[in-house]
Amino acid sequence: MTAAPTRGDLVVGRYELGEVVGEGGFAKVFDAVDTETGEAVALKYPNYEGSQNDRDIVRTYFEKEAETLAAIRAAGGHPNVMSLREVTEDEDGTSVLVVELVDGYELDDAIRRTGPLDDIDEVRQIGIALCDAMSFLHENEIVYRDLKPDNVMITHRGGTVTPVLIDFNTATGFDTGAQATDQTTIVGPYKPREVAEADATEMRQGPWSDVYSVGKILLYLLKGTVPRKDGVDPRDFGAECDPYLAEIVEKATATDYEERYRNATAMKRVLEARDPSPPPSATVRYTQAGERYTIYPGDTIGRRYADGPRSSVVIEDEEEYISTVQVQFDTDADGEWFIRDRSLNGTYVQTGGGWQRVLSEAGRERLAESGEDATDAEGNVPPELYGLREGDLVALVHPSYGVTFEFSTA
Amino acid sequence: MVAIETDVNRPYVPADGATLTATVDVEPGTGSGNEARERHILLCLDTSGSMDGAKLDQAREGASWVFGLLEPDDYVGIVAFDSDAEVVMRPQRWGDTAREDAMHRVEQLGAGGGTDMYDGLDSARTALDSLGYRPETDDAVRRVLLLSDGKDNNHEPADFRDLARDIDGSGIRILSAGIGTDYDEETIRTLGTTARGEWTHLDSPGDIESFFGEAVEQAQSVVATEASLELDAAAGVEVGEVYRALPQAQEVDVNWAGNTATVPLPDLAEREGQRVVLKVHAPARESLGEHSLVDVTLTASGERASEPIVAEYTDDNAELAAHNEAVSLDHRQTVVRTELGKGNVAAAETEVEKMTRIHGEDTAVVEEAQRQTRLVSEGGRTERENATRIVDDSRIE
Repeated sequence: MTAAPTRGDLVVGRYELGEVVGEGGFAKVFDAVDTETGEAVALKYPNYEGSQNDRDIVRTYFEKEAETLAAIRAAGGHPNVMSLREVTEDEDGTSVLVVELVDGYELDDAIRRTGPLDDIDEVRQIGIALCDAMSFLHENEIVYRDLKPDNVMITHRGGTVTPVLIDFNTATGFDTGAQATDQTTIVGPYKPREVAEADATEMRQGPWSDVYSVGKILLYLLKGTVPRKDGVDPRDFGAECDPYLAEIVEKATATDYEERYRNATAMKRVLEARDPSPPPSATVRYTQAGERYTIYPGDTIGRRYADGPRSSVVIEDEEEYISTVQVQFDTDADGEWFIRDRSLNGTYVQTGGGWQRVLSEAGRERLAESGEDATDAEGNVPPELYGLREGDLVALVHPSYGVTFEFSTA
Repeated sequence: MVAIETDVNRPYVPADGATLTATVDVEPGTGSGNEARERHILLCLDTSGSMDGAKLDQAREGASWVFGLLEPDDYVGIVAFDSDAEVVMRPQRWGDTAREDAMHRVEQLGAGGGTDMYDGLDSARTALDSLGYRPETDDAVRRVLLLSDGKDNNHEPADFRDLARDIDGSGIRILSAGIGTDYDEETIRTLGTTARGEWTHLDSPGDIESFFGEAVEQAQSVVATEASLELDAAAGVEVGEVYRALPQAQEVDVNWAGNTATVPLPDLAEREGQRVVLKVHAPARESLGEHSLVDVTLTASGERASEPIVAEYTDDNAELAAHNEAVSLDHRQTVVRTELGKGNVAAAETEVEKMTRIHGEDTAVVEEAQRQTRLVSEGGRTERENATRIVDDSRIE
């Protein structure tokens, strides 16, 4: 039996505990002061005593959260995602997460206090920030399973209302093994059908599943309640709302994922442009399989992996050289297409005569660790981004690996 | 596909008989062909003088929310009642209704006068029955959503029981909500229970919108209507103390005809398991071995599923000691919850004492029953309603 952490404790000789600011089924959160820097932080303890869950489950979820937050930090962090300072152990050997103190209210508490938001632009800004956070997580192969108002804190930063994602205990990276927690009987209104009824439907989960959740959160901001219904136009529920935003919400929450924005990046763009029409698309043809896919800015190609983030286009790859998020398509400010490599093994583009290797920074670092050098004979370092033109070929891993796509904007 | 599963607390009984507890779990299955089913929703709103202000404002918001949820093929109507009833909007197909027109009618509602809820419900039924000429109505999910903050000026709860039976008999379920502290709890409870819906207490006007919203979404997830369990008891077997445990703890009006009885069930909704608990007296038998005590058959929207309640007669003392405590606890807990819903703390305490004596006070269900009883004895209408529902937070996403 260890002493429960209490106000005034000095943890690891550095953090002075304040009040309990949150308590849930897995964790208990204190505000605290870093006595070395004077900064306000939050300390997250596994909630063994105050939870109805088994000790082992609490520990597993706590560790999962620590791993995910560490992965987010390793990827450079994101302003709309709670950041990790350190994982440590207190004097009793209990794990503690030291995280940024997100000062504000959970989104549902905030809306209960203030009522629905009248300022459409505020709703739009929150939507943009959430889309950006979801894109960031997706690109870094982290699935956030549970986007809903009580997992989002609303805080004021730089004079604007900013959402910050908290609670990563149900998020997983692609390599953490299967989850056994999806045996739910009551499904909230923030999950699209392909997630809520994963066993009963053939609809694929993918980046469009996050799009649905963000759409429902926008309706929540406008109305303060959310139905389970799909394809919701906020105006049908009596919300005062600009037509462009109403159409974005309706499209984002469509039952059929092909009618939604394909990914959070695409949804972010339409919110920024205040124009619900989806961004321009292109196609890629998987030359070995003969299949053609429509792609939108932000779409990704990756390996099918049962528990990982679902790419827009998934490829069976038993050898597992292809990453779960291998390569991402996007357009620049002039509408020109390019690819961004997200993989460890790299991607090649054949443009005109030769093949150009494109490799993410993480991929370059990994090669360097194993003593290889990605620099080619002419001394060029492979870029992370590469522009695409009509008819270019995109080969995953290596041109001889046998997974090649032909790009077209026609 | 619908399915049922029966269970008993004592799988083995002695030759001279015993009284068993049984549960019948109803699995609604998923809604194949559900899209073709229409919903006929009638909002029955109290507009008596006391509804003026926030309550009526929120009732308007609630109507607005309902309109957002409706599908084009759904039908919606509105009846308002104060000193008498008025059909504000005849049930009409939502796809043929302009939202602005419907909202205009809702905006026009004003509060004043007394409370003739009886006339309100009667008019609601008549309004829904006006769609009876359409063959689709037979399969439709038909609902009256009742909202009131007061007592009927001229009718007693018993009158409402008869009216609710009539309404239920014509295929309409009532979801009844009382708001505030002045409505007659017995009336609201009787309406929801008798017409196979649910009854709800709303603490504040802010709860009105979600009451309407959840009722409509529940109607949209219905996979089978006109559901009931037929109990066919073997000779000498007696059945009693029948309750619905899920979705809400409610006493059941069982209609016996000879050895068979019908237990009416609420409409079956997707992912909403139902449970009925009952006592079965197994008579003395000369021959040992397995005997079917009650044949249970679920009928819903023309589908059927059967499973008997069985017990094995034996003289083996080790076998006779087998006790499936969960089943016993389910029944007692349901009795406790039903009594708490009525505010009968003394009756609930008597049951809890029995539970504690038999199952021990450390049992989770016993602790929960004690906790609920304490909450109700110290609390009010909210606690009484909460006691009738089992909410397992860990299963909510």
